[in-house]
Amino acid sequence: MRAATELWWRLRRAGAADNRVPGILAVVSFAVATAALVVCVAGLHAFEARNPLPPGGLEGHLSDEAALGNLYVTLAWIATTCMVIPILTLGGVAARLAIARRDQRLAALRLAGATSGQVTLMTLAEAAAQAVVGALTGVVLYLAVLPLVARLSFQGRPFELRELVLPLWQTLAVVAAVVVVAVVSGASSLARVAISPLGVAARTSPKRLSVLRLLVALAAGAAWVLVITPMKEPQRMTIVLVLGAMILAVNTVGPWVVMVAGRVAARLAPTAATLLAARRIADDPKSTWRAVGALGLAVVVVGFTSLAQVDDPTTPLERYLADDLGTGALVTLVIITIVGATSTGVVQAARVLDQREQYRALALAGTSERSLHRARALEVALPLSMTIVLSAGFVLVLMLPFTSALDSGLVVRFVVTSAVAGAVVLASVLASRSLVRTASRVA
Amino acid sequence: MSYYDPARTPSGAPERPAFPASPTLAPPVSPTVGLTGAQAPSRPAGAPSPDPARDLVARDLVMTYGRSGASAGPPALGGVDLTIRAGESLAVMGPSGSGKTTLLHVLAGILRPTGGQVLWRGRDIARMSDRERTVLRREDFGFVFQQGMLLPELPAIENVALPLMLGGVRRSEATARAATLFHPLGLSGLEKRRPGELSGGQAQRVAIARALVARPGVVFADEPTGALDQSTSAEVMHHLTQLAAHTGASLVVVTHDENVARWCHGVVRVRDGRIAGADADDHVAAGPVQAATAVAR
Ligand SMILES: Nc1ncnc2c1ncn2[C@@H]1O[C@H](COP(=O)(O)OP(=O)(O)O)[C@@H](O)[C@H]1O
Ligand SMILES: [Mg+2]
Repeated sequence: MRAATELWWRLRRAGAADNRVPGILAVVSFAVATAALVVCVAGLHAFEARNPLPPGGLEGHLSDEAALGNLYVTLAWIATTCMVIPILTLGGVAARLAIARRDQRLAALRLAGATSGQVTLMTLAEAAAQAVVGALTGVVLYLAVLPLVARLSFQGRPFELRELVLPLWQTLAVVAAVVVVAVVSGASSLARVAISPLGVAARTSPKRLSVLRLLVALAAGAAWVLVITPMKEPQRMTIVLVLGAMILAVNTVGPWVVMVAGRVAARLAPTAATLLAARRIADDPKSTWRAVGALGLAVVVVGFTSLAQVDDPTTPLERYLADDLGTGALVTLVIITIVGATSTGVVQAARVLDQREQYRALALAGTSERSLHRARALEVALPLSMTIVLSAGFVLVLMLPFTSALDSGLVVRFVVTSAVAGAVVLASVLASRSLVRTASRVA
Repeated sequence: MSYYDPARTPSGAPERPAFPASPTLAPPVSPTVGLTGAQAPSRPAGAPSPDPARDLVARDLVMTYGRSGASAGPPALGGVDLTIRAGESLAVMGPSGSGKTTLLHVLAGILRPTGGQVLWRGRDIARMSDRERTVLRREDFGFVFQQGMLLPELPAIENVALPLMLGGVRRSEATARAATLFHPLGLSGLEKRRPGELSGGQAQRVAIARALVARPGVVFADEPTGALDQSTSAEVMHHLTQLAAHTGASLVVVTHDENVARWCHGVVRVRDGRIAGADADDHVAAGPVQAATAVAR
């Protein structure tokens, strides 16, 4: 064990230049995920503190004001549910990154006689260390953006810093949760990457995702119609649970749809860049979906809340509600966009690092750097534009019956907002341009 | 449409030298790899005179890595003269660190030499802009690396079609042209496989197809069999030399392996950045034919 630890340390040092970038990417991902998570929890916290349940609880009779406050808390829970999955996904991306580029070092360790248990332990320890550093950085990041968050105004008054600061134990709980996610998803991807002394298996034809995914989603849709819609006054937890289940269902069918779309695109792709992009999408529909799925959901939420302001508000509280719904949805979209952009940027950067040699070979054979950039941009842009157009279109079609009430200014704002969110995620690809340049540098 | 249709010239591309009339597996008869300059032995008698319009000619190549200054080490290339005739194959041999890869990269327009000229079809590659050299590598040269360097996400056929598509050829035509190479390379039926599902030798033959699909004037191969065993090496070299000969491409192969060098018309030996010797000799002329029949099942 001692020798193995020493070798591990030496390889760490030796590979420093090589492994620094993935390490930094992993830490950045953990940091953004943690900051987003703490902001969510803090917001939830603030709404609950502002709107304490009256002594009678939910069962008792609520005054109008209390009922409205209760609605705020429910909505905050819904927003948090929407955000938690992309945030956990980003944590998973970071963990895989902390593991993925260790292949050669793992193989070297195994050849040097380390047992696979020892190797697993060291790798997970390293992933956990990166998660701790990233999560603590994330807490600092959260403290830095607090003043910004505090400028948001809900229920007619801006947040106070005091409302938004989480108790220390809750902050530490979030940090611990991030580290646990890192270790669990790290362990599961390690289990898939069999650590044989000769390294990992080569890339093969991807397995098709099962059509079962489609059935699951249909079943969830049916459940929504049959269970929730008939309920007169569903409990908050029921709504949150069912909504969570719906999001999971959409996340189940999403990769399948992406895979089918990718395969069709690969068959039809007219240019080299499109072909490469489509093959990559079809090969790894899950990670493609991870990059775009949450954004689609956020666009739907923003669409409904910003366009559905039809009935005239009567009380001042109701007027706030209309505005606050829009603000809340926008905040959700902003957080999901930042998290999504980080995921996309990090996944793209990791891919370039993994395929450095192929990039160089392509460049030697006369592929211009522009073609390489274009393939990568398309790989993100194709599913992204598809998701955003479908989500925005979905909202607009559902709102069509209310066209008379639709304010064209609001529609334009919604469309522009969605496009901007997409553009931000797409722009994250630019972050790894310099990696492509380095990898494809010929001389 | 056949890949071996000598009448066809790709639209827009400069006219390629015509393919050999008869599609036999025999190598060109006379080895005409020539050396000029001080260290060069006299060219074998009977060699055709050089044709600057079709040859790749290096004159007094010097290559020093790093910034020019006192700290710069000895040059990686110290004055190399070399002529590679159209349609010929040349093995570049020499100890590790002697400058083989550097020479290959300078000849292929990957590195710009510190001094000297590389003339390709009468133009000096060393004076071209990066952009021009990129286009040149895409259109006139082909590359085979030690490991296939195939893109793992593309099936074999698409890996082969890729250079054509990058050059603006339509997908359907690129795929059709790529497909014609699979049979001659013994790869029939493997079109849809991913690189991860091919053996080392198969992957290397796919890489050969990719290098030759755009019908380059010269194919550069840096230790193309470095990761393969003896018999697989022979098989790969058989395909590389024969296909290059068929398409009329010249071939420059860097290798450590005398057995591999035997497949080429000529051999130059590099030592400390200089040409230390060359043979364009008897065993080379006879070797490939016999070995080829031995391998070609
Ligand atoms: N990118 C580089 N920077 C600095 N020196 C280099 C570089 N590439 C090669 N060299 C040096 O140039 C010499 C020739 O290298 P190379 O052409 O790779 O030899 P070979 O391929 O015959 O093994 C060696 O001394 C090597 O250290
Ligand atoms: Mg070399």
